[in-house]
Amino acid sequence: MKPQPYTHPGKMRARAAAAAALAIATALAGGCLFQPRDAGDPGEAPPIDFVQPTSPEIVLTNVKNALEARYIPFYQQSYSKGQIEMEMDPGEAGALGIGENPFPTWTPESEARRMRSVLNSMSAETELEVIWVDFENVADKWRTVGDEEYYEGLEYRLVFVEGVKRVVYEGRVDLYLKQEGSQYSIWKWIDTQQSQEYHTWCYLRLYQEWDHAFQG
Amino acid sequence: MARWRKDRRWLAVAVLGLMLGSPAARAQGAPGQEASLLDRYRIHPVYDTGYEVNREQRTWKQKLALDRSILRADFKGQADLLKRKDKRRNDLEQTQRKLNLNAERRYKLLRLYTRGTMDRDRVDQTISSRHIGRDNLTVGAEATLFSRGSSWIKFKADGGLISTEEINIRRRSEGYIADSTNASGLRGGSALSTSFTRGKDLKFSGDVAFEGARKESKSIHAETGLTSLETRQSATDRDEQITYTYTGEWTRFEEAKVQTRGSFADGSSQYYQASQQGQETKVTERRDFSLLVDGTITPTLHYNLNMSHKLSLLDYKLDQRDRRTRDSDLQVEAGYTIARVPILSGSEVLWAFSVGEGDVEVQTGNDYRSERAQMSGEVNRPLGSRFAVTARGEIQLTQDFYDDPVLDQDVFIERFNVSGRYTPSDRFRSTVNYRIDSRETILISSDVSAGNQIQEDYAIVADYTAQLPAGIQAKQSFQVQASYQSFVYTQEKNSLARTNRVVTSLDVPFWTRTLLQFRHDFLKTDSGAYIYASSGGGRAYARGVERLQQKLQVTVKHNLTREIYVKVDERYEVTYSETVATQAQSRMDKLNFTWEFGFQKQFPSGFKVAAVAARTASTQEDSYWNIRADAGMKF
Repeated sequence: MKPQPYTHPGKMRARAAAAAALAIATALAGGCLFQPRDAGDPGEAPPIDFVQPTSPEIVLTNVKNALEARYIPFYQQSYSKGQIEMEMDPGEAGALGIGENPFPTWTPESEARRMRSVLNSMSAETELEVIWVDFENVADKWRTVGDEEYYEGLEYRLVFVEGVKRVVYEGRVDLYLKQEGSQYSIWKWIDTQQSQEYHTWCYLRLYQEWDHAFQG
Repeated sequence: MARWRKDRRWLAVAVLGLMLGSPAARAQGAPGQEASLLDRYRIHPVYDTGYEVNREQRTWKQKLALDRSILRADFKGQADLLKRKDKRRNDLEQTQRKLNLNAERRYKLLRLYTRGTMDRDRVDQTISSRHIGRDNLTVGAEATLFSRGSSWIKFKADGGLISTEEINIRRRSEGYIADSTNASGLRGGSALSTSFTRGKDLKFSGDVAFEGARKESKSIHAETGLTSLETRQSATDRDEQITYTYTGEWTRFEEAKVQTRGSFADGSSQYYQASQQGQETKVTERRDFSLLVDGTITPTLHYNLNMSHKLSLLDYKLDQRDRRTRDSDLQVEAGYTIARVPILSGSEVLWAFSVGEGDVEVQTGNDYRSERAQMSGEVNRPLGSRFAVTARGEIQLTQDFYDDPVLDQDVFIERFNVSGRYTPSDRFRSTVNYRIDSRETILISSDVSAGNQIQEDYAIVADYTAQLPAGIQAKQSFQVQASYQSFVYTQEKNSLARTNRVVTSLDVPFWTRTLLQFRHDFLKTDSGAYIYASSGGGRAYARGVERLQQKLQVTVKHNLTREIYVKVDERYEVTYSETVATQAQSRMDKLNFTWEFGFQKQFPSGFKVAAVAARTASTQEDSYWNIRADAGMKF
């Protein structure tokens, strides 16, 4: 065993005291860092209710309701905390000249920020409808493989309408959910483009504007 | 279908080739025995192949690698082939071929090298096709300008030919849109690198590198359908990049060992962007810096400090994907073993603190800045040899500041966790864990602050693992959890979700060849409003939705020989839910049955193979195959 170098006990006590003083000073300084800001006086109540996602179908309903009501805090709650896997359709990415994955480090916060930007790009007159196609029979698309549970080939459509202008995003997603305690949340999204006429939800995330010029 | 048959033929040819090739690859035998062809030329290629079928996805990978040394020159080559099919992703068919060849010859102070690469990637889908081809041939030399001990200075220069081809086809209901670009030209690079060592405790290395390319490109954009057009474009593509990197390490004192790293890169490229139909200019900038200090102040007190700063810039002329991100972090961790405090003697205390700041500027969205702070403390207290207690607390605050203040939000998280571990013998161990998590979301703007909420989870989880006689292992875990969602300003929306879960598993071996596994998962949840009761002023819980889910899994695996096994697996799942107010009930049953066959063997010739074939029948979807087969050999 390698012999430990001798250090004078008084010197060691002084070092330990200095380290403790530094730790206490940092902890005290940290007290100021952990003070959240005060919220402004509340106005109107949230336009929708957030239902505790105790089943996968409730997650889909919460996503739809939150986006249609343009209420991002409830939308963000539908995604798992930490890292999310987001995969764009390879054909769609290729046509845009994107070789690498445009969503390498994705989190619920990134998702919320992008969708906030989309909602911010809408005027007050623009309406958004989120459609999970054949939602009544969505349980038929629920799959369990090993420990993973997901909706296979879940079709969606986002319809933005402003006067006579109508912009549609649509695709098919393999939507992976995980259950923590009683709550389900989304942790993986694999997008597939269905036709060249319409771009996918991932495209919307990328360009963050509801009427981005590349439609069609 | 025809193509699929062709692939199977190729697979059969590959396997047959391997089996026939194995005698040729056999190592040189006893004296007098004739050496194989490969031995005679001292070439020993390594071949690996893998084939996988998962539902409607099929993947076949092949790799062939070989190296050879002749007269102080080293040659290395590798060929990779990947074929992938996925019916569900618009009939995706992908073929990737890569070929890498390297050769180098070393002299005392000079290294001459050449490198050739060929990449082909083709993706066909029902609505689009994409083909990318890249060829690269490089010749270079590296000279050692100075060398003494482990310190040196080297200079490297190389150059060569580069060629790229890209075709994108998007099919529409009427006709298609096609973009193709062919580019070829020259590339060159140079680098000056150094490594410096003084004594045992000071090390430094760094390099500066420049790389540039110039290509002449021709692009064609064509559209057919209701309208037809074709445009041709010629352009000169340019790529330039300069990179500086360094690492430094100073470890003279036990109390403070210092490591630092840095990387700075600036690049710019001009190319024709088919999707934008114009000459694109992309400017990139990257700055990474980190400083790590760690040490042992006294034998019982150690610490580490980590500082990092990152900056990344992506600036396009045409595309709207401009992005600038900056991120800075400071982390401090310390650990102390308590020796003299009577009750806590022998405990270990860990403390961590971190602050960080980042901002993002994007061309098409909202710019924002994010600040985060986190502090945690943990005490580990062993109580004799059988018990141990751990307590951990953490607070975390994230604050987002946007250009548009309506989006500003703070998230404040508090976590507390105490757990006890009891291990009376090697045959039994158990843990109990109590956890409180609180997450407060504060929307700052008064336009949205009515939605401010606090999510609180209280959970107790207890589990044990017992090794019973005859090799039987039993595990059980019990969980009770309550999740409260409280709205600060709109309490009529408050809700509660409750969870009861019991998971039981039992592994029962029958003699040495058969294993029976049993697993049962019972999960009962209910949720509903949790609001002030008009009478009495207390809170009242009104169940809105009840859900009961049970999963039962039984697996039997039997090893027929050391190389072959068979397995059957049955999973039954039933989910029952009821909406209390409407008495609406639903029930979903699901049964999956899987049989599996597995084989693995390594032959004396070096040929190794592993294969698993499984077929699943389900009440919810069509039956499907899951096949994995890998084979490899060093000839």
